[in-house]
Amino acid sequence: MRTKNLKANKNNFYNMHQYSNLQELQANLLMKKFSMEDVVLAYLDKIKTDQPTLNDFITIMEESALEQARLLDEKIATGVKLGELAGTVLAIKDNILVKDQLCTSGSKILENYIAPYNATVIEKLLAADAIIIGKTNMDELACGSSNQTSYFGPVKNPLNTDCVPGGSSGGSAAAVAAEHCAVALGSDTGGSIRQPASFCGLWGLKGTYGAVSRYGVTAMASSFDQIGPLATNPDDLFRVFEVLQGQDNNDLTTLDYKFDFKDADKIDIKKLRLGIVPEYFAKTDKPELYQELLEELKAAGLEVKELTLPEPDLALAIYYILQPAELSTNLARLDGIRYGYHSAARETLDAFYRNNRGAGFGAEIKRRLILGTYVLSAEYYDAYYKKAQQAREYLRAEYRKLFENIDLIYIPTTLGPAFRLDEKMDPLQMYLEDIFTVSANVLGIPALSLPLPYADGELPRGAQFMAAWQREDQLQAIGQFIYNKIHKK
Amino acid sequence: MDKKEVGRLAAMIKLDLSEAEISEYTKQLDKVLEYLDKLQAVPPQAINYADWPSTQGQKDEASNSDSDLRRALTSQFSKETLEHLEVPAVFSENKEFKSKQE
Repeated sequence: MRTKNLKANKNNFYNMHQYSNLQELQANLLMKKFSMEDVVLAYLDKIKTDQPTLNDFITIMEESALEQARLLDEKIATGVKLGELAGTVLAIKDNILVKDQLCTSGSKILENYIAPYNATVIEKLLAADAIIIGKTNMDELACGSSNQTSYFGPVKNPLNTDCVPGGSSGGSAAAVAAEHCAVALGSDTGGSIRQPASFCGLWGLKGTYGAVSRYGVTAMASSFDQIGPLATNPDDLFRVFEVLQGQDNNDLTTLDYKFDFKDADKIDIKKLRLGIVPEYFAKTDKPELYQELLEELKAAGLEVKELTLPEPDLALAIYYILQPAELSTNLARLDGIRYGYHSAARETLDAFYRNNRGAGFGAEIKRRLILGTYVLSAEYYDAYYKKAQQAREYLRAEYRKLFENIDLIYIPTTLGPAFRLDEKMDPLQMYLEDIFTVSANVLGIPALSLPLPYADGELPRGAQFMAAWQREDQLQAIGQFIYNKIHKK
Repeated sequence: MDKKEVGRLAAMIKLDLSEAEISEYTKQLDKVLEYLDKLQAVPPQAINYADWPSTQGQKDEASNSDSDLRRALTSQFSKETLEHLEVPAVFSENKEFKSKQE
């Protein structure tokens, strides 16, 4: 069993070499203390050693990563201006298209699907001189909270290999925690970035719905999905988010605003009004840890208000009606005809469809397809789907009022730390894992998960901060404050 | 939710399920649906029901795609094997399919 102390958390190439973040690495890269090829080779070496145990990658992009590294070294040698993410080695969740690479979404039905184009986020990363080292394992079609539903086998938590890394972006979280890359991209539909970040001792961000383009992402639940980063520190996290964010003509749900990394410096932390829900802390296995951070924030001068929020059960119920409904609609296109798994049984076209889908999807997907079809069917539409949409509007109105009097809401990310691989096999129990994270997706507000301090031999737990729509700058400000105050001590 | 309902829904979305899967999902989804009733916690006065479109009167039933319309459409394609349209760029590269054709 491997354990880490947060204060001595020396992740990644640059931390191994005493650089605390990407900016320092970039400075040393420019001083030619090492080459980008050295950096990529170090990561590849670590990936190859750990992959048989952790299973965090579906595709390792060795050749193209080294080619990108050499190109960057040439740019440095010739004095060409570098992009803002030069030196950043990233892993990409396998539901995001990287041209000419497999994009399986962790599913048998897409096991042979090669991406014909780059997702918008990939174009942006490449334009910023980032290097992509591979595609990470994930719960099948992003449905799951443990990374156990992947067709390519479960991912193990690098902090304790008997435990899950969380899901559905479990491979991305494991890759960052295991020093296989500096930053990874995940997608967050109900907590799929924040929950694995919490389980692996990382920083994870889901932006406002519409902050980041979804063009080139395997659609799961379109009104909830958002791509976001996982990193070891807030500096890297928000620098990558700054590159990813922005309006995109290929995704008409993207919003017309621009997140600027420098804006957080203008925020006076003492003027932030913090809302807390003490009952939520009490629901976790270690309420005192959340209280300790709260005391630090109070001591720093933040105004703290106790809130009465609508029960988290309500957001979870809304989510588990609308998400399967959207999933069943989006996955209707996966029939094995043009790509993906196709069965040998072809007596009739209908039998061909049924067999392809029956054998191509795993149990969790089938369960949600049935549930989604049920809540959309004529007999139950009013009782479930319509009611859930109405309840979603009700919640949004309640939170709009709430954000008139507060800036941030501080709650736990999860009920406890990473659970064991063989634990929580009951679907409802697994769905309850998302209880604190789904609200941000139901509302479309941004949310940050950051690791609370933990000792050797313990597993980490995440603290979650939610802000009003488009206020990622406030999340960055509180994140950087906590990092400097607590994590850097 | 009962087994018959799960079977009917699976047929509608063209999803092969074994008897064991139908039994398992029926039990599990029944429990999930019980939880989803927490939706009733929304105060009815908080929602303006008049703003929402009413349910379409469409009946949900599984339908076979072997319709006259489909036959009329497929007959316009030059290459057809059994009931499948041939799309060379994709299927001709698939070894399994190719050997079946041979």
